[in-house]
Amino acid sequence: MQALWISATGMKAQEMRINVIAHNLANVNTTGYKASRLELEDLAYETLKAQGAQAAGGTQIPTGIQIGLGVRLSAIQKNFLQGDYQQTQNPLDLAIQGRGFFQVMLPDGTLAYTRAGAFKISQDGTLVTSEGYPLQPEIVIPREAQTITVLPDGTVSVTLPGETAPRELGRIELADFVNPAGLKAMGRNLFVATEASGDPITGNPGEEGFGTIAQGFLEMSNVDLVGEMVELIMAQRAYEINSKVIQAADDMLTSTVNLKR
Amino acid sequence: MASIEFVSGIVGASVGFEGWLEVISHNLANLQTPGFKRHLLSFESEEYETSETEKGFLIRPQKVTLDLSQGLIKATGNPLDLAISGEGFFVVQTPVGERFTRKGDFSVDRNGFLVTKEGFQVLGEGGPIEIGRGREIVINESGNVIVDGELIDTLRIVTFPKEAQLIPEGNGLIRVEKGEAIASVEFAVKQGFLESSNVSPIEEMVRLMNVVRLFEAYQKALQTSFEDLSRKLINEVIRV
Repeated sequence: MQALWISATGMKAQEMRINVIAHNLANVNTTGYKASRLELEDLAYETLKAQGAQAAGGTQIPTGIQIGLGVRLSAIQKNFLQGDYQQTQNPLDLAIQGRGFFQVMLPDGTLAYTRAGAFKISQDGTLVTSEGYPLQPEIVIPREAQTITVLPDGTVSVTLPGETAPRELGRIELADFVNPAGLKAMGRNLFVATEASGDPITGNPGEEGFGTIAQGFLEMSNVDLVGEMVELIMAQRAYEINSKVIQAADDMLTSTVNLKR
Repeated sequence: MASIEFVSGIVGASVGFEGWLEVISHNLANLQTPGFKRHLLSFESEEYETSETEKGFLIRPQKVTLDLSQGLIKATGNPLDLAISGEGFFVVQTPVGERFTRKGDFSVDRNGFLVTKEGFQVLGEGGPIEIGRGREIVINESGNVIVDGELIDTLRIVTFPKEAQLIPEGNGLIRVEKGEAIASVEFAVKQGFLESSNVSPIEEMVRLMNVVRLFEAYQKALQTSFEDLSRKLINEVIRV
């Protein structure tokens, strides 16, 4: 009774889908979070009667019988659509409007990419993420700085006591990918480049297709709450309906078993 | 009257019902697979003579066909999700030749080409479609791919003559035999949308109930004819 296994693939796929929805919903308020989406595709087919084969009377079988074997996961894709902005007034909260990622250095020396721009100042004055990973290229804010300004083009400047003109400290660089959906999510809002995403292309904000920096704003999660709830209902119902087929197959097996009393 | 042929006919039909159940369960497993087309199983019956006065029918599965009716078109907002409203398929280049699909959840690969989730290139009139790192990708209803205001290519949307055989291969791909692809005219490509599976859960549930009850009825008939046969056998043996 193949139907049991076919329906089981359907139930498994819906279970995965609920996992993805749960993760999205848990991150509905996570800064810079990008929603995941599960993609399904039909499984391979079993040929019971081949198309074009010779039938008993010497004629050709026109369509044949191919029985599908269920469904499987084809991808879990990150949706890199822009999230909404939240005004925070914090001068170190930076949001990217448009394409691009902030580059941060992990403790092991590799680069990671993030859209969560809630930066902090470390004890030695460098701009770091909430986990303490320094922004690349590094920007060091002097301790005595009065105000910090980040322009849309990424230029960071501060005013120092006794000086009237702001002093420029450096420029934030952004990285972009041909296929951002191919990035590997590492958790903590970080992504790393993979074979699928291609190599990072770096550039200045506002130039060559890169987005601009908005100071005092944070990019919110791009999870669409209503959409996720609808997906949840659909996944649950699809799960139920597949379990009904398993019951039906079981009923049929029971009646076969009961033939012999 | 029960006979050996009658019994074998019922057994054959029961096997057919199992195939039917498999088709239903495959359809329901793909209730939410984008671009999935419902499978229909048709049966054929064969007449045979059980005795000089009686005739029986054998029922067996004959073929599986695809129901190509339009699935619902669902908004996703993702610029690389494409749905075809109307007739036609996207053309995909696979290592074993051109394949056709209605599953338009495309991506851009590391080289900037428009690809399916398996990494197969989606074909336009001029071959693979290179989108690159375009900021603004617009695909209009006639399938023109416009990247940053520049027309790159036009998606190939094809259809097939009636006699062509569409054979599902899994991964949302369809192989076509006995029929040349012809450019479709009655379609609109919808950017930011995906076509849902055209499986109707209600219809499949009705079929499911139907197949289970029919199967039971056949089993009952089988059981009765077994009893009938053995009674006849015993009576005839006694008479001898």
